[in-house]
Amino acid sequence: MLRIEHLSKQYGSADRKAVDDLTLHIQPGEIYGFIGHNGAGKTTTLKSCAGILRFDSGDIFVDGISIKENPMECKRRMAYIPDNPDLYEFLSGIQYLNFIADAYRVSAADREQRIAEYAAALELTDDLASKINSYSHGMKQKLAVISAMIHQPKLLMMDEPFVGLDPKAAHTVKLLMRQFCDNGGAIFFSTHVLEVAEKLCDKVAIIRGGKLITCGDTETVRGNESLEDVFLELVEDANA
Amino acid sequence: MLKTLLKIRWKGLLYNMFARRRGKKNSGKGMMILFAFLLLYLVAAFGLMFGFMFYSMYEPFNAIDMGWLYYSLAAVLSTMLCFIGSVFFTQTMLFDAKDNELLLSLPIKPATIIGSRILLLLLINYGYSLLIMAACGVVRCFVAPVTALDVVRYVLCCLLLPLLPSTLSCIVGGLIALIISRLRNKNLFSLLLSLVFLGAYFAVCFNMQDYIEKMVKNGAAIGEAIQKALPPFYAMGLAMQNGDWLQLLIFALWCIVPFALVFLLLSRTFIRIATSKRGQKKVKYEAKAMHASSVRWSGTCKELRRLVNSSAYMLNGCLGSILSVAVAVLTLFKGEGILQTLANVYAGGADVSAFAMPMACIIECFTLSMSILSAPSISLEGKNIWLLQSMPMTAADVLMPKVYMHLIITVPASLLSSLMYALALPMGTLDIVLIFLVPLLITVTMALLGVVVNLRWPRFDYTNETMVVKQSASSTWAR
Repeated sequence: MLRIEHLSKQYGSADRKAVDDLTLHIQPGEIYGFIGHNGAGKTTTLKSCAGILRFDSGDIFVDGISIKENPMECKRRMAYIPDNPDLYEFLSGIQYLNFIADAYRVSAADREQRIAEYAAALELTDDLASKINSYSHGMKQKLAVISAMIHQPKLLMMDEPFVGLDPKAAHTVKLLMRQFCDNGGAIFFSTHVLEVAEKLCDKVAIIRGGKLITCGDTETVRGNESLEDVFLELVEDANA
Repeated sequence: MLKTLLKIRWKGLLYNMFARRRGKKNSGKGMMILFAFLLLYLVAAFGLMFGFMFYSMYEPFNAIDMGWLYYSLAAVLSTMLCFIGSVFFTQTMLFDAKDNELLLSLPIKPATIIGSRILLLLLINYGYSLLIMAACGVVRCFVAPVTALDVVRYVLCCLLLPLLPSTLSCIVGGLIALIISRLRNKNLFSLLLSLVFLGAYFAVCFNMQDYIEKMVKNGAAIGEAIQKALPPFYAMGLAMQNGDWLQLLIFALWCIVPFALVFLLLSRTFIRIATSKRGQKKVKYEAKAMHASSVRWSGTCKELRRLVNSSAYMLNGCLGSILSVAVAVLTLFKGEGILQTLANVYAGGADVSAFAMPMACIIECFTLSMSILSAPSISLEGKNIWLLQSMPMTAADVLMPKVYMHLIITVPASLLSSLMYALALPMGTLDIVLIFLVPLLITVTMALLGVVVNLRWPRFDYTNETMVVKQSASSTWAR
């Protein structure tokens, strides 16, 4: 579903590359966790995949389509949720969702049914008439999740999706993620919470200083240890 | 700590005015040079305007033995300029600052926090005040000899005077903040208030010559009014005219005591002001039938909602359209008189009706071109830009709604203005076609040009959207 081939990205005249020759393949039905310390290159990778950032070399394929050559088709097949969802604060929740649905050309009937379903699951229905500027961080995050699901993408990319969510909402989002992948979708998401990655992800990739340290099945990567221990060992080895 | 806070606020103010995109230091410098030239031009223009005004007042007031009125009127004008210039800024800076929670979490006394904000306000008011007081002082040196003590007294007065408008701004800014916090439609109130202030400003500017003549003619009556109603300005006038140190002390007390009281009041109530939650009334969502729209129409609705939710954007962006209609209404009622005046002044009484259409057309095009709705529209995406970048929208899908929004506001204003000119002024068929067509073409050009200019000079890293609407490079070029 998502193929990242030798992706490299350098910001201006920075000393090192933010992402350096990264290659990852994410198959349909997989929840793929992307783990790394602050500044490791996770957000840069996700933004490059979402078509927000241009990259220097390599290529990214969504459902077999190159994002370099056909970004519009790629964007129609995916959705991106940033770590800090800055949404249109002057719109109400429902106005925002309608705008997103129009942008993805979702029919009136489909959007009506999907908004009702996801808003109810995330307990946001009552607040949809309120302006987004009155929302808490968690509510904005929930709205971003609903807006990402509204066009039923094949690929979902999420940057720290659980930050700011209350425990119940976090649980619901995990269920939605699982359900999404069981229906043939793929999820590529970054997280700092290793326990979440360990329990939720089918596969994980660990990145440090823009370079991929390891990737594979979560079970294989962690072996007999916890993911936290493996992550710390790998990062220390890379430092040495 | 006070010094550090003041420094941070000053840097914040400069950042909002000059900061450019990261890695584009040169464009920031260029903007600073351009700004310096504009500032010099403004200082020179204001200085000359006030200089001529003071020059025409000094002799007549001294002739009727009311020389003190010269200084008192300068002080009144300075106070008015400072107040109009700083009252909205005060409301935002003192009562709506975004760093309240951060500062209150640090071991800093509330008095220090509020003190730093009031001091910055005072510094800004010194700038405004200098425009008038420097002109007043220079003219005074030019028309009559001055002693060293006169200069000392004048400098002291100039240092004390901005305390008065700063106090007034704090009080009125506080009242505005209080009213806004209790209103549901804050933007409409802010817009109406801004329009009232702007109307007052234009009224004063357009009638300045008339006011000067009235001041000179009715000096005695104005002097009496100031003596009774505005004792601080009377005291300052006497202190300067008669070299009276006691009056200077009285003036100092008038300036310092209210300022100190307001400072004490604000420092004691600061925590309550800063932490009062101005919640919005919660509206429960009721599911209704939904409608799908085209991407561009949906984007246009979004742009219109952004516009009506920002009083600063509405005021600055729609001002040209409002002025266009206002001038056309004026022409509708006074068109014949205006034509007659023009004929008498410029054509020796000859018929000037042939020039009515070109003149009306130029005026309408000029006022309409002051509508800069599309020019800051890309920058206003700000932190939301990721949304447009991540969605399957073409560049045209993103940009055309901004053009349409501009046209939705300005085209009706253009048509209405043209209709009123066509009714008010003598025009043939071709004239009528042109008075409708030319302003429409200008409107479309301005809408497209605004987007092009904003594409060339975008700015996404702002902290306050008013800065983008009023002072960004794209808005400046569009004007």
